[in-house]
Amino acid sequence: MSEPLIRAEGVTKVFRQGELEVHALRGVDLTVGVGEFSALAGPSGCGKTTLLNLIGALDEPSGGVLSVAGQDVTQLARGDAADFRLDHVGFVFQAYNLVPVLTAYENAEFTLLLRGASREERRTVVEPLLERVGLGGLFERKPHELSGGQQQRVAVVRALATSPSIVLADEPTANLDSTASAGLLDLMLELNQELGTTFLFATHDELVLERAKRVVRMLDGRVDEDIWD
Amino acid sequence: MNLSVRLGIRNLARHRWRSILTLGGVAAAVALMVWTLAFVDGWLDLMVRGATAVETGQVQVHSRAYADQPRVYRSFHADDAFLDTLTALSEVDAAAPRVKLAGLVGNERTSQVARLLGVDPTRETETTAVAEGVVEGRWLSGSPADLTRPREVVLGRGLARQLRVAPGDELVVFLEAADGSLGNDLLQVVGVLETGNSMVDRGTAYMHIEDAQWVAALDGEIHEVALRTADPELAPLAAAAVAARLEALDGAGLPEEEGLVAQPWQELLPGLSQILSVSRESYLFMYLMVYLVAAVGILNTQRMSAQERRREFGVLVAVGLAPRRLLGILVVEALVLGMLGALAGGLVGGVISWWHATAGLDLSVFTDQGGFSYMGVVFEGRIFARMSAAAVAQPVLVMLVVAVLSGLWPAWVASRIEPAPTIAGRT
Ligand SMILES: Nc1ncnc2c1ncn2[C@@H]1O[C@H](COP(=O)(O)OP(=O)(O)O)[C@@H](O)[C@H]1O
Ligand SMILES: [Mg+2]
Repeated sequence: MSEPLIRAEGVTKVFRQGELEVHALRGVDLTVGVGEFSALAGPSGCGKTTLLNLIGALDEPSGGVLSVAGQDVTQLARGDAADFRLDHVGFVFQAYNLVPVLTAYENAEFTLLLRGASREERRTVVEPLLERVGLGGLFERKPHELSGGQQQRVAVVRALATSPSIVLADEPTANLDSTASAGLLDLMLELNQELGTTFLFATHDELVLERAKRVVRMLDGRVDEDIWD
Repeated sequence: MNLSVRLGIRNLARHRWRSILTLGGVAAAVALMVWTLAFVDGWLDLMVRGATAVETGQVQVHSRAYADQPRVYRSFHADDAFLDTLTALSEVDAAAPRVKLAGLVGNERTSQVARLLGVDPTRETETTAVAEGVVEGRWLSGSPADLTRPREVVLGRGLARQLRVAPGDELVVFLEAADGSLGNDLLQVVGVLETGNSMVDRGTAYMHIEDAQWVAALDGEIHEVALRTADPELAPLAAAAVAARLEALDGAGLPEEEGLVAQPWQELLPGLSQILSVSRESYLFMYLMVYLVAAVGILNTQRMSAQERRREFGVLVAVGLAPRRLLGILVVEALVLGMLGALAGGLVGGVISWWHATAGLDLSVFTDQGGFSYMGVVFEGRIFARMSAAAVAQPVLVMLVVAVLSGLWPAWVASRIEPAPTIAGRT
């Protein structure tokens, strides 16, 4: 078997809050393969976001082995971490995803702009993607002129524009009603199938768990159950 | 458009009132500096002109010994041909020969120590503005009075007042002549001067150069040639050109140690020259005061703006914006803020300065007397600012530097953001 996309072995994370030590992850073992559409589930505070952030090189583990897309992400310098994220990871967060003063189109092309893609290159990637997620005709809108679901779709396009190894989505539906949530998730599932992009969610939204091909249940900073569809 | 510039402009537009306040502050600072530079330049111009135009001229020629220490016997020979050689220089517009004496002037009631300047009335008028200062009577006539009559004299107003004389009155002069004898003569007041140069107005008497040479036994020799040049700023260059010409003339026939020297007003009036450089240095202090306020404004605005956008920055860094690039974006934002403000300020300051350069500024704004005297120069009526490209460009450019420097710290702080806790709302 080839190297998995994500390989975590005994990953721990301890947050220090003054005198207090919070053991957010107590030894996580997990592998994620290319093309998966999987979700980290579990009660609030069990460590989903923490694990997702470590995988996305937004933070460093306290111990253990963690490699993503063949790269050791346990000790990246700030600038290197940013470059790693730009090259390999797409993010969709719960809220505040978009820059308020940029249009939908400008937000969507942001990551490609950071990569130094030309205007033409950006256009050929971003335009079809925006059309694909149902935002044709809304390119010039500012985020506050879009619905919550539409904003999340822009974030999805921004995440996919760089053809990342993995899209990490932390509670992407938490601020949406069930119709908008279902629409967004169906779209992400379709994109997963069409493009083969790996998706990893952190959520306790049933709508996500219904669609996920694999649900990794966490409890107290450990993997409790790993259920394949 | 560049991403940084785009973000900068749109974020300014987003917080319209805060931006307008900051921009207004920046613009006001720049406009104030532009106006100050133009006004002080105009003021210094006026001072230089006031100090040099009435008597000194822009360059003077003396014998080396006289320049060292003025003595009535340290004179030199200068005929029309010599003066014409000097005016032939492109740097020199006009030349006036002078005899400079000190003596006692008086009548049966009172007497005063006075400076006596023997001048060629025509050449003096071409070289200095002294004749324009005649307020009573007239300037010296073209040639000396008939030998049967008293010698013509024009008095500074202060001297005339102290002697209680008016045009038509007679005076007697006593002085030490070049040969050590006591010279004396009968004078008749033909005019009274008020020039704005207090040295001239308070204690100087002008007479025909031939009369002065006769009473001081100078035998056709003079003490000084005053030269007029077009641009007072360039007087040192003109002095150098004159010196070169004097060298070529072999010191007008004088032995080496008694050769002639040419000095610009900057050397002749070191006090004024110093005032000028001190005034220019005080710009620096002014910049410091005025721009410090603007800098604090920019810094505050950028700090607030960055604070409000923490989560936005958190997400951008998360999706791959390198911290160094974020720093760059925020510095450019500060620069955009500074640039818009500086251009507006440069425009406003430029227009006001242009107005004051064209129409002048009524000095009664400052004093109820409508004028005042400083460094021997009387300022009256209107003072004109001097507009120059540099006086507008410098404050604008300095503000751009200030904007970048003030934006640096907030940008640095913002670029140190920790994306994970920021997005989670933990900070
Ligand atoms: N930056 C932090 N500082 C201190 N404690 C933290 C920090 N981030 C997370 N934690 C703690 O770690 C635990 C796991 O948090 P998190 O991963 O956000 O859980 P979940 O996403 O599953 O709700 C929680 O107890 C949380 O309070
Ligand atoms: Mg979470």
